[in-house]
Amino acid sequence: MNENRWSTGESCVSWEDAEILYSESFRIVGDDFEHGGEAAAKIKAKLKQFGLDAAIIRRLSIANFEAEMNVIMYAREAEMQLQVLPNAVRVILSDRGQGIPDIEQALQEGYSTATPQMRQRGFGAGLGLPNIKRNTDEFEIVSTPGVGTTLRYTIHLQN
Amino acid sequence: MLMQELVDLLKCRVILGAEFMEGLEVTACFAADLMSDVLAFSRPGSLLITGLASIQSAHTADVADLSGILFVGGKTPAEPVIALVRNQRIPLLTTELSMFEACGRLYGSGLEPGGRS
Amino acid sequence: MMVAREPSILFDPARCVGCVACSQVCPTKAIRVAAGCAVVKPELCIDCDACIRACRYDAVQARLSSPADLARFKYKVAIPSMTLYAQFGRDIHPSQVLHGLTRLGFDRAYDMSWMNEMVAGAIDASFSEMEGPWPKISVTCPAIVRLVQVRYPDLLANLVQIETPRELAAKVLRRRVAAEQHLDPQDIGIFFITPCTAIMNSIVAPVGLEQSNLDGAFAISEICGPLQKAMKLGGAEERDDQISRAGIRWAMSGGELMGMRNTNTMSVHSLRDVQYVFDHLEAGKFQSVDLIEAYICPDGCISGGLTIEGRYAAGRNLQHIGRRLGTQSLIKEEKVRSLMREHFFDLEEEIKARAVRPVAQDLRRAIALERERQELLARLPGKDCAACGAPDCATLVEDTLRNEANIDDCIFLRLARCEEAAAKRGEGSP
Repeated sequence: MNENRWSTGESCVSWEDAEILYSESFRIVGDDFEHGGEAAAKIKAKLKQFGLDAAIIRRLSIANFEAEMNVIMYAREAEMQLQVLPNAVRVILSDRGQGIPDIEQALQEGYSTATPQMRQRGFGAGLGLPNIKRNTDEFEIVSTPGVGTTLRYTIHLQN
Repeated sequence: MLMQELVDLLKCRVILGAEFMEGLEVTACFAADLMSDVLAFSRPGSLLITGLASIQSAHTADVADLSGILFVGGKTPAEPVIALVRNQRIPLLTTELSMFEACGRLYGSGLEPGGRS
Repeated sequence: MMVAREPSILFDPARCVGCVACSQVCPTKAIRVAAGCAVVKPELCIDCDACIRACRYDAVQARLSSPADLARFKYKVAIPSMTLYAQFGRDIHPSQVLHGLTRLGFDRAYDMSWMNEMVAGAIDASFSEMEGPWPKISVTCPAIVRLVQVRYPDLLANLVQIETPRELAAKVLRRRVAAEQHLDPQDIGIFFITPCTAIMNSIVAPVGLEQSNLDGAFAISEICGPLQKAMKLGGAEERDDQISRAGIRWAMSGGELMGMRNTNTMSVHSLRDVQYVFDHLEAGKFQSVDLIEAYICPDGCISGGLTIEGRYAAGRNLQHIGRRLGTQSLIKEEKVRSLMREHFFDLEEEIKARAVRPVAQDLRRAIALERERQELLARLPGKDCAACGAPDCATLVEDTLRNEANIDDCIFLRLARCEEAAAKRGEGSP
C-alpha cells in the first residue's frame, strides 16, 4: 500500500507509553456541515471541566475544529479520539476517505482543493492543516490515498 | 467601547444576548468571512465581524473564545445558529451596514485590530 | 497567621424546626440540615445574614460579644457604626447617642465619621497610583471581602488595599485614650456597635491585618432599647463632637462614593446584585470602571440584620441628621496626603484566597473527581428538594465526594430501593 507520512515536533514515540488518564471518542460524518464543529465544542467543554489552562484549550480546540471541518469536507466519516495524558493532551483522528496524495503540498498555506460549497462555510482556503500545525506541539499525518488519513496531534502541558 | 455604544454606532439589532452586554467592553475586532483566518489570527476576547451566517461562525466564536458576533450586510442567522450562540452566552448582533462601512466606523472610533491578518 | 474562624451565626436547636429555608438562600451553600436542626460549615460561611433574614422561627442568631467581654477591660470605649445614629428618628444629634452610650457601661464613646471621610479621601487620592486590575472593589463590607475570598478568588487583586475606617479609628483612638487616661493600651477595650453579622469574624479572624484593633462588637438591635432610655436623661449638651457630614453617609449605599472627586464609580448592594456584578467582573466586564462600592445588605449598613429601624426610615433619618450638620469638611487634604505618605491607610497583609473546596491541582485527580461527580449526579433526581440535608443535588454530590455525606441520603434513591425490595417480596409471596 502506498502510505504517505509526515510529522513535526519532537518524536511522538515518547508519548506511546504514557498512561491515558481519560479518553473519549466522537464520530464525525462527512458532508454533515450542519453539525460541523460539534466535536470540537464537546471536547472544549470537557477539558474545561478538567480545569485545563484556557490557552491550551483554545489551541487544541482550534486544531480540532479545523480537523473536524476537513473530515466533513473531504472524508466519508471519522472517529476523533481525545486522550488526556499526564503531561499532554492528544487527539487521534482517523478517517475513511480519499486520503492526501501529496502531504507537503496540502501543508502549504493557500493550497486547496475545496469546492464553492465548502468555501461558503468559511473554510476551504487551504489553511486547515497549517492551522493545526501552528497550534500544536507535535503533529503527524499518515495518509493512504483511497483509504483514509490519520492525524495525530499533541499539545504539551506545563507543570 | 461599550458593546451598547457599538450597537448604537452601527445601528445594530440585538438578536440575542442583551443580558450579557451590560458592562461588556469591546476593545478589539476581527473581521473575516474566512473562518480559518479567524481561527489562525484572532485574539481571544475580540468581537467577530463577519458576513458568514452559518453554524461554523458560531463554532468559531466558541472555539476561539471571542466575545460576540456581529453579522454585516443585514444577514440573519438561522435558528440552529442562534440556539448554539445562546449556549455560549455571548451577544449576537446584526447590522444593515456593509462589512466595509461597519469596520470603517469601528476603526474610526478607535477600536483596535483583534489580531493579525 | 490565619486564625480559625468560628461560625458567625448560631442556630438555636430549641427553635429550629429543620426546614430548609436558610440552607436554600445561603449563597455559598454553607448550611446543612441534620437531625432536624440546621448546622453551618464555618469554612464556607461568608457571614452575610441571608439565613437570619430567611428564618421564620427566629432560630438563627449572630455571634457577638457579651457583657463579660466588656468586664475584662479597665476602660471601655464604644465606637458606633453610623447606622446607630439612624435608629432614633430625625431630630437627634449624634452627640446625644454618644453620650447615651456612656450611661450603658462605656467610659467613653467616640464618633468615627471623620475617619470615614479621611478614608474616602485617601482612596480618591490614590487612584493615580493604583495598578490594575480594574475596577477596584471597596473592602468596607466584611462579608464582601469574605465572598471574594471564598467564591471569587480571581477578584482578590481588585480589592482596595486601604484599611477600613472602623479599624483605623480604633487604632488611633486606642493611642489617644492611652495617652489621655495614662493607661496601658491593653487595658482599653474598644467595642464596635454594629448592624452587621459579619463584624465578629472580622475582629476574631481579621483579614488584611494581623490583629484587629477592635476587641469586640455589640448589636445595635440589643443596645437600642436601653440607649433610647439613656438618651432621654439628657446631658449631651456639653459635648463638642465634630461630626463629618460626608462621613456619616457611609452607612448608606453610595455613601463611600459621594464625597469622591472620581465619579467613574458604581455602587452595588444586596447579595444578588453583588453576585451579578462579580460574575460580570470575572467575565472581564466593567473594566473601565474605577471603583465599586459593594455591600451585601440591600441598602448598605443601614439595612443590616442587627438593626431596629427599617431601612427606608433609617435612610431618611440619616439624610436629615446629616443635613443639619452643615457642609463643612473636617478633613484637610494635605493631612490625608501626609498620612498616605506614612502608609497609615495601607492594609498590613495581603488578602488571600480561602478556597475551601479546592479544585484538584493534579490532572489525574481532577479527571477522577469529575468522572465521579458526573456519575453521582446522574444517579440523583435533580429535584433539589433539600430533603437529604444538603441544599441541592449538586451539593450532596460535593459532600459525598468529600466523605461528608452519603449519596444514599437522597430520599428518592431510598424510595426507589424500598419499592424494589417490596416488588421482590411481592414476587416471592403467593
